[in-house]
Amino acid sequence: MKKVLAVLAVFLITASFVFAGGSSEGSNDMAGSVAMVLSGLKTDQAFNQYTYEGMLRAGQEKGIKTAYMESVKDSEQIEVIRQFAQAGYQTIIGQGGQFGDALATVATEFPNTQFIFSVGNDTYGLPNMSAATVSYKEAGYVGGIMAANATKNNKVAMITGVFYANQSQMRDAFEKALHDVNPDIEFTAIETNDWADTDTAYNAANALIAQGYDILFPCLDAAGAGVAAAADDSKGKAMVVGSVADYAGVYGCKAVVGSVDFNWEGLGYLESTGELCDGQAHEVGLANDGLNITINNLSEEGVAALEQAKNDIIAGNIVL
Amino acid sequence: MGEKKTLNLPLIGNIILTKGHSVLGIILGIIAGGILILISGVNPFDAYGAMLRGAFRNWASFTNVLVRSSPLLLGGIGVAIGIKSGLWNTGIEGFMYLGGIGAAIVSTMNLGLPPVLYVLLCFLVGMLFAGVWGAIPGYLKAYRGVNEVTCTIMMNYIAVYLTNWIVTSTPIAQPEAFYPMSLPFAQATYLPILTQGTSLHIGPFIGIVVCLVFYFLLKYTSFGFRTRMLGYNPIAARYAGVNSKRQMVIIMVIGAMLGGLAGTIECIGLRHRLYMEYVTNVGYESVAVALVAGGNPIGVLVSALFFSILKAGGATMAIETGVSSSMSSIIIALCVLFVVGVGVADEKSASARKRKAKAAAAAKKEVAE
Amino acid sequence: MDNKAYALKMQGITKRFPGTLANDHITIECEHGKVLGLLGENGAGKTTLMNILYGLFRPDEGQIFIDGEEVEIQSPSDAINHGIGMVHQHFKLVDTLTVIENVVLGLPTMKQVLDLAPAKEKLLKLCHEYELFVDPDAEVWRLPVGQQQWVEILKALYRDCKVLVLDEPTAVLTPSESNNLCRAISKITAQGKSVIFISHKLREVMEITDNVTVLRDGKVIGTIATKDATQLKLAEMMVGRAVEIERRPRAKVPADSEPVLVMKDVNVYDERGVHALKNFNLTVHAGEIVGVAGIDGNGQRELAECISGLIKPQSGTIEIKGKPVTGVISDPSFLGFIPEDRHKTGLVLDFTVAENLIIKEYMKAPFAKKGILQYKEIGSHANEMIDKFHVKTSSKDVAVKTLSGGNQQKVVIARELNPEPILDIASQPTRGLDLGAVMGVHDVLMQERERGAAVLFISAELQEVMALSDRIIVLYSGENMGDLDGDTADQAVIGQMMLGKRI
Repeated sequence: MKKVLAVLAVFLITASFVFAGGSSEGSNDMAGSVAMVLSGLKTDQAFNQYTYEGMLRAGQEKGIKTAYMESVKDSEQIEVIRQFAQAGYQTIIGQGGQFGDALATVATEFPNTQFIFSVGNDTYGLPNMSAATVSYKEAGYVGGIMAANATKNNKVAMITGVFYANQSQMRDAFEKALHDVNPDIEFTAIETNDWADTDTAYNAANALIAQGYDILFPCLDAAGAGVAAAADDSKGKAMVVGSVADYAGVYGCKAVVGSVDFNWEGLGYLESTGELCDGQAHEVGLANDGLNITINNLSEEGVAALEQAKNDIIAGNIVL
Repeated sequence: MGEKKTLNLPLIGNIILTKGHSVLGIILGIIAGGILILISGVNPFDAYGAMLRGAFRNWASFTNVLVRSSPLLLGGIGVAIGIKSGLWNTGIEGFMYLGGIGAAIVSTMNLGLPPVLYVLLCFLVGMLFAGVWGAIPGYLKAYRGVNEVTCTIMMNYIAVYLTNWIVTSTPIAQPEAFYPMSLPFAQATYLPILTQGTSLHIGPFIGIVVCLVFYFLLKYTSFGFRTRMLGYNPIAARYAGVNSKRQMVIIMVIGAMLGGLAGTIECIGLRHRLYMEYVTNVGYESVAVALVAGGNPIGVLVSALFFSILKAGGATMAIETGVSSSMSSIIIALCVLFVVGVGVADEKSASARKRKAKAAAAAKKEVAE
Repeated sequence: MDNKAYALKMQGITKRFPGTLANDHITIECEHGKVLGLLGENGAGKTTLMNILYGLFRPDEGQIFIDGEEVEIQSPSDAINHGIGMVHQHFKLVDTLTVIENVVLGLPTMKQVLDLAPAKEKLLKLCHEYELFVDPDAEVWRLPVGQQQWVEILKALYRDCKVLVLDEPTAVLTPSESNNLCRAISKITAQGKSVIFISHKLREVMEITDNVTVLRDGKVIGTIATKDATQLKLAEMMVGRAVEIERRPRAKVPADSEPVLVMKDVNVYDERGVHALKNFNLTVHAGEIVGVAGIDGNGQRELAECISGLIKPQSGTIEIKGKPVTGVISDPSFLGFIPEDRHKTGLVLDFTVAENLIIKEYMKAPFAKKGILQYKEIGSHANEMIDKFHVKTSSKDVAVKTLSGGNQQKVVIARELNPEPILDIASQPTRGLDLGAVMGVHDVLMQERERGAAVLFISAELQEVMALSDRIIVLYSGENMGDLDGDTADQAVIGQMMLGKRI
């Protein structure tokens, strides 16, 4: 009796799936459809969430079909991207630096589908693969102008986790801005090797302050709170020029000149509209609303210099 | 009287009866998962339908299942032989990283070897790295009495950070990368793709062969005899002259080498680079695979494929119906819980039955007297 | 009504386990303010009975009365509520907690915050009252074993127990600690509390108890007032067998027979650090059976295990046919070893009969060739052994755990003795077997002797030692008390030696 029941149960369940499997959805209009592959959760209140929201906004405004997959692990990247391509999505966005190889692999298999490597600048020489990133260079330059106009000791330091490609570009542009304003400014850049360790960042910042650096330019994740705290604790000896986050808003930092952070939502939106699908590498910067600049404690000359620099960049007068 | 009229379904019927715990537990897990899917606002029949389509729509979708089964098969066997010998090997996660590191070091060197040799060299070095890594918890367990679960899990963390360090700060790290990763591997190390337009490499078939080999090894060799004896009764094994400490180290090292092979195959079969945190829990999933299989290599074959169906189909389910992509992991976890739970419940009710039967027999005897 | 006289009465307690009757209508009575000794060998049913009293097992039959009222004890907390305190042989303390924390652990309390000060005061009072001194704030793992036992006793007294059960309490105590314990027991009984004292050490039972109940094979052999008992009488009750076993006729062992087992000045300490074998010397010759008599737990297990290499002696030498023993001996043509616990040591219960028959030879031809098991050979060997040793089993391929105890033992004997080893060790080979099976084992051992093997026969059953042995040695507290000729040995003399008297 038990045996019969067990066999029956298995059959019933299997059968129910097969029947359900028969009812495939009607083929929607896939024109302009876009799918986004995220490495983290779409509710992370950071990069993943904002780019995803950008895609949603594009979907609503343009009436295009959107889809996403979150928390995609390394080993399943190719498979998931391929599934989207097989399902007929016309643009597939890999949101993060780890998706490059996987996108390129699938792009060669689906020449009629467009692929966007987001937060990367490599198109792997493929006509149907584009790259888009926010401009770390422009963010660095804007930060440099603020720092140069705020320093009193003419000593400025950058603190970051590790100098990956983006951080290196940011550092070079930042240094260029400093020296464009005042060639005598002394500049140093250090790595903490941890993007989230607040204590390490706090200690590193204090060490820099002790050496007389009075403007700190952090490019960190959660560890930014440590730099903010060090500046606040320095009793006016040092101030922060924030990047990647609004230091006054996010960390409640008082000793802050201003911050430059990225408009991820705007990037997601731009990628989803299909404007970037041209086989080129794009940098979304001041010209297309890719940066948010917040000013907290900057002299009038400083503000004016900042405006000037922004205009020069947009006009192409400054090449980074 | 129902007994005799049982449908003559020897295969399915017997599997269900002999593997009753696992099958019933899995069914309960799927039902519980369906309830969760329902709560998240999706019709569970649609969702499971999408899952099955994702796994079985055509050969290309089934290749996804196979590709995902590769590390689960190898890692599952690594854990299963541990279970057979009374060891809980929870270190597959770390062994996979070590296998990846070994493969990365060899294949970024561009030795200019012919493909077959180069791939074999990768396997060898990956297994060697993981084997040495596995010897540490094996030694600590056998000769120092350190709990192997704690030890291997700790070492998993070390392996994760070791990998992170290698892909960020060593000569084989990709400089100026957008994400921590190694240099690209030499083309000659790529595992051949068996079906164009898919990721199907030889890994799953290696895994299947390994399952069969270990089934044979455990059942038909003196090595397997020794292993099973150690698992069933370590005191008797010692009495029979088994060097149980050495055997423990050997089992742990074999498990580690299988884990290392799994990691190597993932690296040279799929991404052709070593990435930061590229394993992401597959090692722990293989513990679940072995657990559901009850340590039986053929069971590992079945449960690894089943988990792969859930995972590959789960991706399709998430894409097509909008169910959270973590749902397939949740369903896997539920299946494991129910398999274990059904086992425990069954044991309890069996002993209760025994008690009742004995009481009844005693009562009969008294009446007779 | 007459039950009222007893602080505790267990009546007609019966408990069956698969294959054994652990308690067979056992009745014990413990008076107010008196000490009842519970005497019996390992496996006699003492521990099962006490676990029933403590609510860990439910009896199949029988009643429990406390102060004349029938009570139902379903769990240890019921037992505690009925005033029963238990000190187990293996302590149930949380090592990492302090003494006072262990004492209050599990007490019902309405408070959310632990206030130990009043508890400590009460504990210290108890310490003084019974002269069992411990530091309430010491962590338990730091305490010597004796003091850990004080903690267990104080824990029970703290809960105001009426009946205190002590399971083999002196096994872990030094002589002076034992004296402390005796003093404490007399103080406890002076307050009208009762004590049940479980032991197989006769001298202590004589000293401490008022009445003794002797158990054997799950049955009560008798209850006597201690003042009317002698150690010898108790020993007879404890180890005696209802059926007389006749001494087997045999030829004299030739005097020039070669020595096979030679042990010189062997000292073994067990895992608890107890000195289990003391300067032990023994020689066993080919073609003779040397019987080891003695009450269980006097070093028999260590003797068998150090010869077979399972444990390493701290000093001394052991040689078998001139070869020193350096590790576990698994060569069955060298040593055949029937271990005392066939379930734990002698068999892999989940393996089949066929597999169990080769657990020492599984890697050798003809059972394995180039590492591959030869199931055909294994099967025919199994069938041969099943026939030769009359193992009753439905098939060679059933798990050995499904066999009866006697047939399981036959599997062990077939495996160990069929390869014709030069030395046999048979450690309690007849324990738990019915008479027919016992006789079968005796036949096998006699055949081994005739074959010319040296046989070391360890048994707690004096009768069978006397029936089979050419020479008898007596183990007491790890010492070889003397070497007697099997033909002329006198039961009374051996009985005295088993109790520690040198003759």
